[in-house]
Amino acid sequence: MTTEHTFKILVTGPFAAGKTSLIQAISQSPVVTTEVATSGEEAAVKANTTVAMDFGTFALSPLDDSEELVHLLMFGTPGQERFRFMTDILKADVDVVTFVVDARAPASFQEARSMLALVMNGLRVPLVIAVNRCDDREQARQVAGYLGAGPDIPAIPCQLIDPESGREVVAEVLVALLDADDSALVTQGGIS
Amino acid sequence: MLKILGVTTDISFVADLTMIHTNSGMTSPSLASLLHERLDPQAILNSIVRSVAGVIGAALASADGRSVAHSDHLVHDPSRAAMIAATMGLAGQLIGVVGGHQLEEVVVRSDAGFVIVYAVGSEGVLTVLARPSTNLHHINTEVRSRLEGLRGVVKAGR
Repeated sequence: MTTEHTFKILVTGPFAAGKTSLIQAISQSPVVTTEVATSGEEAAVKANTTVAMDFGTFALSPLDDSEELVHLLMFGTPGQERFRFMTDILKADVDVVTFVVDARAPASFQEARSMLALVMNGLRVPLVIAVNRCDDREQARQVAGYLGAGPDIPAIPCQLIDPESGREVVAEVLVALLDADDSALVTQGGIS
Repeated sequence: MLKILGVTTDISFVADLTMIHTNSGMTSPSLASLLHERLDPQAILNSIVRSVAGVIGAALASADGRSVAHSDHLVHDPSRAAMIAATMGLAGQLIGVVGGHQLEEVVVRSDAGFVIVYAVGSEGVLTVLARPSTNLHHINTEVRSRLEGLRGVVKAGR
């Protein structure tokens, strides 16, 4: 008998980190996006921005010796502080958090740090940090450290314009979900 | 095209007014207020509030959730502009259910009144707050006649 597991992933992080790109890279269904033209000084960073949510799905085909089907539902948030209420709505009943940060935007790290603490507040689920525009594990670990994440939190270097790179993030998310299933000792994502 | 008060306007329009001013020899108050209303977003928003009984406020924001202007007596609240942008973002997807491509407005009705949000081109949103008994058709008519002016304000603000 096949058992199905559905997990809800929250994809969040600061403005222009690569959240929509990650979901677009991974999703097997057409991504529901709410992108509009960016205004003000943010328009200099990128042309479009998410104002409500992104939604994408990913199904893991069952392995030969396993009868388990895994569905991932990915919910992406807007990045700007003024849309924080959307994160509060979307984080309900989430199973894992993927926090995206741009390694080449160090000016965003401080905001990202408080944002990460806020999003994990009240959640007892695993956390994976996707360090975008980064090729180096050491550097990814360092960026995660700036955000206040301990060494037990996975920090994945990735290039989210590349779908292959996005799949590495998904693999890490799946591992985190499995670990969380095995362990009853999941604390608040290990955020200090 | 000429830029006055941050709003791009057609120079022929201004030229027309100048001519009338010269001919009359003095500034006509109605003409001055007309010009003012055409250029100032807050004046446009105030005129919406004044023109329909029951409307208690109007606000203009960018489609990505930044407040641009609001009518008098409306408390400035940055998170409201973001909430409205998110609502329009989702509604813009929802119209696909009926095969729509162009979102025009979202009407939210509650026991305490209406929140009506109009798309102002693809880059702006106009919100009108109204009491429960307000004639929505009347609001629609008044708003639609001013959408073009508001679109100019939004474009100029970018």
